[in-house]
Amino acid sequence: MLKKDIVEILALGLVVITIVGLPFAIILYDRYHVATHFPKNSQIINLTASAEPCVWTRDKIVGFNYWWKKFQFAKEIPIYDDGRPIFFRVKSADVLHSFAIPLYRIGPFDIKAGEVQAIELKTNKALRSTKYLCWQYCSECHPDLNGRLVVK
Amino acid sequence: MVDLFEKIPFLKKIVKLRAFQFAVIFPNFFLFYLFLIAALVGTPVGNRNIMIVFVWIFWWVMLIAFMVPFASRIWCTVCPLPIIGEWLQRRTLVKVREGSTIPGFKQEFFGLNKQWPKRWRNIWLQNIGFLLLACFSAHLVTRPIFSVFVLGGMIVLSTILALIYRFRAFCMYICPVSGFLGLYAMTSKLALRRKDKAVCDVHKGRECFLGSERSYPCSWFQNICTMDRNNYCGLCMECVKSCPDNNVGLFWRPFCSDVDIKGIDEAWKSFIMLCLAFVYSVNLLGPWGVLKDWANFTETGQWPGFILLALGIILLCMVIFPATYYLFIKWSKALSRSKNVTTKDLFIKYSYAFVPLGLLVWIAFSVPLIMINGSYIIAVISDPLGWGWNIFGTTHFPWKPLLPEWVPYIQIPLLLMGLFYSIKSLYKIGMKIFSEKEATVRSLIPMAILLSLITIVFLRLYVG
Ligand code: SF4
Ligand code: SF4
Ligand SMILES: [Cu+2]
Repeated sequence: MLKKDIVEILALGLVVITIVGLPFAIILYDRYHVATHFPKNSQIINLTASAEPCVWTRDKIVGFNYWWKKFQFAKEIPIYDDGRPIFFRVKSADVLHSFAIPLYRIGPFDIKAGEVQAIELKTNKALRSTKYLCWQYCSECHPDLNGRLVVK
Repeated sequence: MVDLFEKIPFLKKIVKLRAFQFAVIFPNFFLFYLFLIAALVGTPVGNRNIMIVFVWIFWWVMLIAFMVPFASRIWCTVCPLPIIGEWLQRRTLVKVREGSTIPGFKQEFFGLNKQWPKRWRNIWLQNIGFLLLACFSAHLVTRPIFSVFVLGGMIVLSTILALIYRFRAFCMYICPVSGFLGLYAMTSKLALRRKDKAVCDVHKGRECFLGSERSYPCSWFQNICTMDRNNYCGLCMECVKSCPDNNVGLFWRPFCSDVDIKGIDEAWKSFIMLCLAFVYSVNLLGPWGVLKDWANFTETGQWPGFILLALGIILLCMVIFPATYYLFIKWSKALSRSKNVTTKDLFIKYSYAFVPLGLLVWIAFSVPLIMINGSYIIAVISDPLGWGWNIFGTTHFPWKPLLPEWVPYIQIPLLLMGLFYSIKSLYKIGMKIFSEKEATVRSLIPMAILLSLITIVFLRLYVG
């Protein structure tokens, strides 16, 4: 094979590997990040606040679905009290929100737009169901930004 | 003028490599692919998404403040947007496929290879495209998904056009970035040109234009033997590879060396760019919050306001400013008392007045962009998608403006420099037209007044 054909194949290989591989690399890196930042077999609860649409949701809010998707409001978040560590990863899709579980004495934590706040949760045997909410006035929809945690 | 190829022979060796173009485009191809993915599945928060932060802060500032003034259209050398089309057209990424698809050319091309329609061989489509995009800029620079539409749309369109029309029709006639890159590249320190006219005159092979067995033809329809401006040379370096006589040089020259505006389309480009810099500055710095609400119509719901704003912008760029300039040109022509030139010609030639000034206004506009928002760049490289990663440990780097109190002291000299280069260039142009000093100076009076007024407006906007 000629040298120029080898270069050609190498270049094509790079392009194909990039196109196919980059999405996988992103997914793998995300797994790696979670695996190295949280204890093994943690329960991880992703929660995103958004003012418009007005919602606390466990769905992923991302660039392409933000505009049209009906996100499910996490009115009730089940927590399994089975000894596994529990973590919230709280995000905001737009403005500055604030996260708190007052009766568990958790928070308030600032939830800055586009950042992820990791928060550990210790369950409380006496309180099987408690309120979580956005703690500071974030937008007109603020009064609706709350839901419950239910320990199962 | 220094020939960098002679100064740094290594540079010439590199650009002559067949793999040069691929090697410089591939990293950008990779990055833009990452940006597109990030915009789709990353956070919708603009200043935490690498698409917005890198493209609209980092890339924009690099482009306007460094690449264009110092390296001409070097962006087009490394631009990944039209490259899929070019790869398909050539059906190779690096090597040259010999053939005879197009009469006269010695390479094989895939696709229909049609000629671009004659009536669109100008930059009007770019002018219009850029102006329309500019009306949506409030979304473009804050909402990742809009960037996907625009950049993705450019990739798709350039690919389709590459399969229908020959070479880089997209870059020459459609790409909205291209028009102002070309116009402002006239001011650039860097220029690729033939070295010795005599060598070109006796050499009849025309490999630089037609390509050879080791190089492609000029995708930008340029002929380096006669090319005398930077405007439409995408610095792809094919002609450097083609020329059997080593007669192509990469010159380092004084600012604003190209001064010939050659058409009404280019003149209008200069108006559009200057007016848009004004519109953006007012929108960003001016006291009228209502304009921002109008620009952000999808959030505020102020559709009628947006339409009004868009019409206002288009009217200002296309009619009001050109008409004002026309009056000044009439005055200038009258003062010159010369019959050497028609009003129309003077109108076109003197529109170069808005090239150096326009570029520097844009640079001045971009200074706070990087100084105020530059810290987002540091945060976003650790968490490009806003997924909570911390690759380099900088995710929580706080938003911290860099020396904001210095901004005006950087902007003032930039604006004055723009004014200086504009007047200096006009003198050069005037001398070519009138070929005598008195007429030139007289004709420059109205222009100097207009340019000073413009500079004062921008000074007031930036410095208050
Ligand atoms: S003209 Fe536009 S698409 Fe073509 S290389 Fe330049 S920036 Fe990229
Ligand atoms: S003139 Fe040379 S460097 Fe410029 S676009 Fe044409 S082939 Fe490329
Ligand atoms: Cu709130």
